[in-house]
Amino acid sequence: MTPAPTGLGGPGPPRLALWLLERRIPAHEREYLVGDLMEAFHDSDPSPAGQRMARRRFWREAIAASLRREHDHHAIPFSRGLMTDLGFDLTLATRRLRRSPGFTLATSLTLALGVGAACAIATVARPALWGALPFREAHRVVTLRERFSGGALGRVGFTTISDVARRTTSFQAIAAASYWSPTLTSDAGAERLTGVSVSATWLDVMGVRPALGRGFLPEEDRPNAPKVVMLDHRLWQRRFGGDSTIVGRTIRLGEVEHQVVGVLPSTYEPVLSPGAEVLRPLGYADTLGSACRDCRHLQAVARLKDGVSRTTAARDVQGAFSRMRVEYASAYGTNDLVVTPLREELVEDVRGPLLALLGGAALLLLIALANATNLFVARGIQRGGESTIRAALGASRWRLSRGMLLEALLVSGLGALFGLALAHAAIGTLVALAPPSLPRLDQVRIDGATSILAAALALALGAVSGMVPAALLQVDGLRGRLATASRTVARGGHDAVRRGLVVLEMSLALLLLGGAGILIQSVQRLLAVNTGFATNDRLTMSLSLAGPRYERDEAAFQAWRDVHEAVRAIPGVIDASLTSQLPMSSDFDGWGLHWEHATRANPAEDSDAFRFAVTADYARTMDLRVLQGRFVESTDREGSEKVVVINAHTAQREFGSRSPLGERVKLGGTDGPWRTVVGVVNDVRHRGLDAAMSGQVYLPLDQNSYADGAVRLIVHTHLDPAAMSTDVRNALRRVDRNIPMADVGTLQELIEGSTTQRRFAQRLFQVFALSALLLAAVGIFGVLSSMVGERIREIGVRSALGATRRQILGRFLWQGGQLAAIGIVAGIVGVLTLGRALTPLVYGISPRDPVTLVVVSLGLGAVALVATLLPAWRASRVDAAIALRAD
Amino acid sequence: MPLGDVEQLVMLALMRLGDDGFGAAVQREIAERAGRDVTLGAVYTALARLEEKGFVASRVGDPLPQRGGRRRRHYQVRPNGRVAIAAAYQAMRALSRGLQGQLDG
Repeated sequence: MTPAPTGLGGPGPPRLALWLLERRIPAHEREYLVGDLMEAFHDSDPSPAGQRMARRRFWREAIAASLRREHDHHAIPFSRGLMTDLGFDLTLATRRLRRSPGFTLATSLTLALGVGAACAIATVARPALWGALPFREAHRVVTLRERFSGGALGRVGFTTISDVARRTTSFQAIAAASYWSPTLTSDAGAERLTGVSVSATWLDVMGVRPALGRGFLPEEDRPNAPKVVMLDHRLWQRRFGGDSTIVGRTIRLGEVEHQVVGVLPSTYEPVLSPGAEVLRPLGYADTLGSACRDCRHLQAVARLKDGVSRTTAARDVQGAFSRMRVEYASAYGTNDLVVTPLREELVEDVRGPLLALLGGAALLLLIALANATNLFVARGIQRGGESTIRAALGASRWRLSRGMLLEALLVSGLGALFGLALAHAAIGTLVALAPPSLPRLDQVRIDGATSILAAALALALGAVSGMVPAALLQVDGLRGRLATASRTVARGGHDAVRRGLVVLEMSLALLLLGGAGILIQSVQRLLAVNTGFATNDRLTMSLSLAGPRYERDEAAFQAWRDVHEAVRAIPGVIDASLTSQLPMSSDFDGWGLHWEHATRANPAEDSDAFRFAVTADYARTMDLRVLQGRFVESTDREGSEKVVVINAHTAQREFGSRSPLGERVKLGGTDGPWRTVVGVVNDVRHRGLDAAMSGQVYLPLDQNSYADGAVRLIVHTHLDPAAMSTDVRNALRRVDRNIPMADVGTLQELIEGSTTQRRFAQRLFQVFALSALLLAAVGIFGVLSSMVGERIREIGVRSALGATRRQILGRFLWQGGQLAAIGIVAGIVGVLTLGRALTPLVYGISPRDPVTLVVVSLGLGAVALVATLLPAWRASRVDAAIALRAD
Repeated sequence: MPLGDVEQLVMLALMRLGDDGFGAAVQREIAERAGRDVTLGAVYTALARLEEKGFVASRVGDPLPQRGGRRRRHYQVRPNGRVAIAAAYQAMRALSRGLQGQLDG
């Protein structure tokens, strides 16, 4: 018995060569030729050298036999043998697509719209929602926030943090952080920086190592410790040219020398204090006045110990806090302390909108897919004759389907490439339009992950749009049809699918149109909200005093008086005033109001209000209306009777219809002086156009209990804001050349800026909806056109039997109208079900607003009608004589 | 119908082999007698053409274990094949007459 041929190195003939022969030798001589070679191999010299020679000979013969030219007798054509059937089909698919460039381009561009939208939005959303945070084991970083009785989450006081650190065991480290805005002074001039004051444990919590130098030491994180700072990589590059000798040198911040002890790595992102470029130690101790439990101005972050879950830590914190709540009832009331993963806190406000946008992009992608599938189904019908013949010649159903599938994959691949290009082109604009509140916006870029997404989408889209027409192929039917000598295809199954796809497109388009309509109205209503103050021709900027000479309050008060006078003296200034905080900016300076007429046992339960320390002309500059009494006047000086002006909301809340004039109130702590209410002014929107109305209290800047280090300047002028800000800068220089100007802009810009998030979503939805409208119109047009084309004979018969043009026109219009109507109804159901997803973006209107729904339905119906009219009109013009001759 | 170079060699080899002619044997015969290295593929191409022209006939043998269970295809020269090869030989001889001195050198 001969040993059976085994592996490549075994005693048998080379397997690979055998495989080659089996593929390449024509069937009629394969058995004999291969048998001869096997026999010769079998008869060869059994010595190793002989076997080697036999194998070499076998290979030589196999290759020679395989390479015989195609035109040789009955040889297998090259494209069929070594190149597999798949390769053949691929070549065929490419050739077919190249022969119909119109179809290829239209379909791939349709898909490109969807893929582009999906890739672009996913790319913008990725850093915030999924992208790895640049911290070691970032999932272990959590934030601690106090939850107030109303459910709002807020910052915490220093003693709360240090108490929790002492009383819990779940955390490896806890750190506090506070906003800091130092002025960097150098020979190049003064620059206001964004910074953050942090505990010495900050870098341990975040899991970051300095790129240069070291982090802060515990002894540096104490009151009156030596002044040290760490620089962010960007500031180091920008202001210090990336000089590595910076560590150990000093820089001037607020006129005080600070020693640079370290530089953060370029990968560090100040996610909790966006834009922060410089870090200093917080330098708090429990004994400090600003460290109190209800001095809630600190962000608290903690790193979970290895192996401790968030739920365990939350339970630990709750246990500790419930004891603290008992011990310090007046500070905490019924508050809670909440543990939130860092990522969750970062995306709290943007997750809903981002998901809504992703949903919008997904809808557009689905519409594009429905459209492409429809185009492929139509292509399958056109190819009916060819398929019939191929099926009759023995092509299997799989073989016929595979051709269409390959075409679809090629087209979707092309579409994904176009889509990627589209996303690439759009991403810059998207980032520019995106709301600054979107975390990690600077990390948005098109990269490998985007390409992988595009490739995955291409695969999925191609598979679906190619499989549907393939599934509609019925090989047996095809063979039967050949017998009846007809080359047109019965359309039963096809028609149902295509109508279904058009209905789907219409309904999805309605969803997007409805969404866009509601968002547009939200933004309009939001911008129409009465802010309560004048926004035109008002320039604003933030000013700050820095340096040891302003440590005395009197010097600071005097500096602000000088600034005020200097700015008012500028030609072209109608009014100018200073305020400790500006409505609609990010200023939140809320104080408790303790009224003389209604003293509560626990002052922590008293209502609070935003405190505006202002110059006397503030009401005039902002165009506030005085409703009762008077506004702050220039005679309300430091020594005179302390006065306040309250807003209508506070007056109503505290006194109802009673006049509040003459009532007395204490601001902040109960140990302050009584201040008499001398007037009531109208409410202004402070926290945002969509925020609930808040309490507001105005007092003279001079009568404030301390001098604000930073104020906002508001200038009313008809002059160009840019020119005016230069004049203001010069005026400031004359007072103190180290007063930096920051956040320069008009009030109008401030208002518009507060709506960026909604306008971003609205613009994107608008683009999605218009694309959807276009695709849906093209879809319904395409389907009806090809139906008309396929029914020329039927139309001919009808008109030969006496149907009028009007009847034929009506018939096709009815068909198109039906599809549109079903789609619109389905879309309305969709809006009613899914509308809730838009809630975080909607203002002043229901996400299921019936008027909007009716309007967009009518609009979509009109577009569908126009798209139907053309093919229907063409059908009505069919000449019976010609139609009946056509096949 | 004229015969190609390889076809002539194959026909002559088949005539020498008598009943025993099959692809590999033909190839071996050509290699040993004429010193010509013809690939098996070329032999089969020639055999297929000769069969098409009606010069050779073939029959299929039994499966053999040394061939991996494959069968042999045996070829025999048919009478008109003999005529064709004889004609080719005659032509060759007639043309080469008087050239022996040069050809044998």
